[in-house]
Amino acid sequence: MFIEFLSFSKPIFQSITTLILIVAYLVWLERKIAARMQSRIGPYLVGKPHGWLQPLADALKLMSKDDSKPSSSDSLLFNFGPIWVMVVSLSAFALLPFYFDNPMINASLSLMLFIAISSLIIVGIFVSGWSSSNKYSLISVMRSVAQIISYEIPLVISLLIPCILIGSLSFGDIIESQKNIWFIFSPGLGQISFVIFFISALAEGNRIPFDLSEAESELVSGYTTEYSGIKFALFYLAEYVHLFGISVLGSIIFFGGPHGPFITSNLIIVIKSLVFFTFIVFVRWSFFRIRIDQLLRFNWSKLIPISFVVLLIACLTKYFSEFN
Amino acid sequence: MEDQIVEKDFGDLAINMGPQHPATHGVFRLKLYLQGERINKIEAFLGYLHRGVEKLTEVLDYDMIPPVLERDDYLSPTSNSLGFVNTVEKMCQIEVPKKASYIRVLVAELQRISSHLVALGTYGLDLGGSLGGGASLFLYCFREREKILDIMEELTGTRFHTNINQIGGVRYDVKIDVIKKINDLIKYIRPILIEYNDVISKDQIFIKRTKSIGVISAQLAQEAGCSGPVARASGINFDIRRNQTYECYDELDFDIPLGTNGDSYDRTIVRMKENLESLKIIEQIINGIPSGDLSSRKPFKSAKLLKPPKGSFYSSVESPRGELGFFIVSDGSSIPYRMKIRSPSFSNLSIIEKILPGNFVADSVTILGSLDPVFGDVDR
Amino acid sequence: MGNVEKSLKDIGSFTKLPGANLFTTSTTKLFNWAQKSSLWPLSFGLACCAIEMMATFASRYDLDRLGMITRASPRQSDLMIIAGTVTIKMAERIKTLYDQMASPKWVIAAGSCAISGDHYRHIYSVVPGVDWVIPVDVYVPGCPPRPEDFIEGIMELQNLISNGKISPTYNVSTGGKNQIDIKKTKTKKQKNLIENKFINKNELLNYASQYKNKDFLYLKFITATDFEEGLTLTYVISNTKLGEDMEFHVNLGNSLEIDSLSELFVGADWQEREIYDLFGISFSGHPNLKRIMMPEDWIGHPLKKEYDMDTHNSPYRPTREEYESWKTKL
Repeated sequence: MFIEFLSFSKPIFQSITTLILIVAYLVWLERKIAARMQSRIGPYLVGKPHGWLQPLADALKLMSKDDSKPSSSDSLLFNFGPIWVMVVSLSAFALLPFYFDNPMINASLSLMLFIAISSLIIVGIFVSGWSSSNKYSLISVMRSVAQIISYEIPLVISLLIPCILIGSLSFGDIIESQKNIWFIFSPGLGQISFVIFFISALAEGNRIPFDLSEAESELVSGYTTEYSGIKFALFYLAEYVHLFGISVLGSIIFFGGPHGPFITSNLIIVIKSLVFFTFIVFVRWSFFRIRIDQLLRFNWSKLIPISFVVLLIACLTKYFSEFN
Repeated sequence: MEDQIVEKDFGDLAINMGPQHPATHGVFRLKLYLQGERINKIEAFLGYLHRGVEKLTEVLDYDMIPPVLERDDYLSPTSNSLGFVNTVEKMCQIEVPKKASYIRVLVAELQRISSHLVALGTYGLDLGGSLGGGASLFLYCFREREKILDIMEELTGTRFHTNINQIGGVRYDVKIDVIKKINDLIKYIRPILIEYNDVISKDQIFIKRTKSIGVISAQLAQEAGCSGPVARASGINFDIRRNQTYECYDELDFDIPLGTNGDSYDRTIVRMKENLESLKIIEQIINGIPSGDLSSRKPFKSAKLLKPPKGSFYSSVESPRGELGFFIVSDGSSIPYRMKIRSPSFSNLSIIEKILPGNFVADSVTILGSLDPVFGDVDR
Repeated sequence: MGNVEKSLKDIGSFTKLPGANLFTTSTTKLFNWAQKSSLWPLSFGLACCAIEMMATFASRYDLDRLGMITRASPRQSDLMIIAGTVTIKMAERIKTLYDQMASPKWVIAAGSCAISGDHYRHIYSVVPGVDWVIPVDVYVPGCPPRPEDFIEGIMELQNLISNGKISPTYNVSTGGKNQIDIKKTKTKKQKNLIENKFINKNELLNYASQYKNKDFLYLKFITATDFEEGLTLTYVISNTKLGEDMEFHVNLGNSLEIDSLSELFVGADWQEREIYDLFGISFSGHPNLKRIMMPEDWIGHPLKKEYDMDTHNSPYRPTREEYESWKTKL
């Protein structure tokens, strides 16, 4: 029984460890890129060549910090929030063909399942902001719910467009069909749906210019205001795990997944997602933040109508190419 | 227990912004009464940096006061001491050598640029947070500011509390190699300031966040006593340097940029354009700096204390934030009987209770930032 | 491997075994190293020193090299840099913020105001040194300290942490306590100082509105002066089109009440509150006459001549005897 459990859980541990290591160094990478963009050096002295021990130091420090909790908070929900966020953003990776050749869960509707799981993060965020009994956190999660629910629609539609053209919702088929040409290069539809995907992914991942729930200059630190120590570390890490998930998803759907120019390997996915992530970092460190009403108006009056039109065009293209 | 349906009026959500808050530009507290994201009413609390400078000056000699005043408005210390020194000189009818007057204006204008750069940089933090594009703008502005501070250091030995003004003249001379360095600085910084102006004024998110936000009409601006870039963005053509001239500003050629709408956007752009005008002034000064004495009196070597005649006197200078005035009442002794600092930040900030209600929470930060208050100057 | 060995040398020791390397350390050492290497300061500034602190975080000096990034929430920060003058009104907030920070936490007092109050030390509203409020680990002298000084202070703190200084105790340092003594003089009152443009107290509103109709819209300031024969108010209004100033004075005599100008001029609102706070003159018709600079429960009006500059009416402001005994302890 125990042996069975071990043999079952070994790949899980393996992949989670790899993932967390990658994500910890993503934080370091972002700090380095940001520093370069701002004519600074960035982490340097902690671990001599370019601060390579910085993620380790940050993690250890956060572990050793006091775990404070406001006396008026709901302690069950307060503790539940960060754990939920971390678990959900990690478990979404079970569906991605990222660490192993095949995903751990190989479902025919894996794309839909991925979206469903990753959109559960908002539950954890809402719960933690609500239970903090802090007004900044409350405003932050209210914004967060409005934002994530409304940006889910264009995100899903932009992902549906390749699925309709390919005729499958499974990652395996999507990757298979991009053997010769990546979807981003399919004329018209590929580029438009990628732009919609990128904008709504930024909004989903709470990145500038849409990081309204963290909005440091208005809401101090948003829903994480009252969290310290390891719980804050969970939030911090989960944000990057989610972001990395989006990067992997983008590189699978739009950039051909493991199909490189010469070789086909899962390492290619990691490289592509790192490039994608770097691009998100570039965007983050060069834009201001927009306001919540502007964000929602942009979504409902521009992004969603456009994405529906593109969806319609995709359906018609499919119809005429298949049935005529 | 009977079943009762109690209709609850939840009222407004009151949140406290400050005194420790990333976007209050110092120690300032705003109590926002919110209806959803909209601000219904605000209350402002200040005095968290009230250091009693006005009381302190009542026990200090006139020559001891300028260094204390330089700690007041810590983004443009020279304007503070310049205003005080000017007032005392007018009271005692002390002539200032022409060279000293030129050096004073040179340092004041250099600091105006550095102050406006800090204003723009921290405005970036307000708009983008310290983890985002705003931080990039902030760091770029500070990078250019360091170049100006280097020149200050070369000139006076300190980075920004220069302490160059003394009653009767200036303390330090401008040497040839410093002039060369200022020339290099102008060549370096002019294209950069123009570039920042272009980048900022065409940034779509910046325009969306600031256009027609926090509009101050010309009438309101005057009645509230706003001055400086805040008033000029509302279209009031009033600049102490031009209208009630002091030092050698009447010999210099410069324009006064004006806004039209009086919104946050105009206030930022007016500051950016003022930078270019200040560069013009600096260029004229280093090309035409006359020779002569540095000071018409030597206060620290002579035992004689300065004793202005009895009476009260008011005069003002144009600091980067607006009209900075000193009202001094003298009883004929060597210390002021009463000194009132007419601080521009205090008057500019007093408008905030009028213009914030009706805006969003996010706007409270951008409007406050666009007024560019310095809390050492507000609270004194 | 050599490189890795070098950068891990501070934390523990390497033992070379056949086929593998063994890395040993103690948890205390490891966590001390971690805490020292990722000090996250609270983004919190008070006065001039905060500008130099910002310059230290900016591109040229770049504290990110040491692994420091600012956090806006006190819960997530380890280090509080008191950069600027601490006033009595702010002292309570600083204490609250310090209590909200999750331990282990450290405090740096930067600048002579935070260390000793500097030239504001004898002012009624200033706390003479932040160590009357919260314990301080490292003092960085200067007015303001240069960025290099800031970095040195932080490196000093890192040394303390790696030597295992986890929770700071209430200690008194010797650094930066050199101070100039302000001479305590009682200023004499002078008779009949001002002789120009006095108006009667009853005609103030008429007078002001009359000039307002003549385009004197710009209210420069209102202030008061405490003469022997009573308080005198000074108003300066200006016509920005002509660049003309209009200065008039109102002698209050024995009374402490006058009409408010806040109906006519928006800016008079705060100006009159300031005068009410610092001089005790009440303005009839003012919508919100409350103290503005001093705390609500403050006793006395500081800018009056009989008010002693060096007043001690707060727990954070030591009495003269306490201060003297503390000074002799150094």
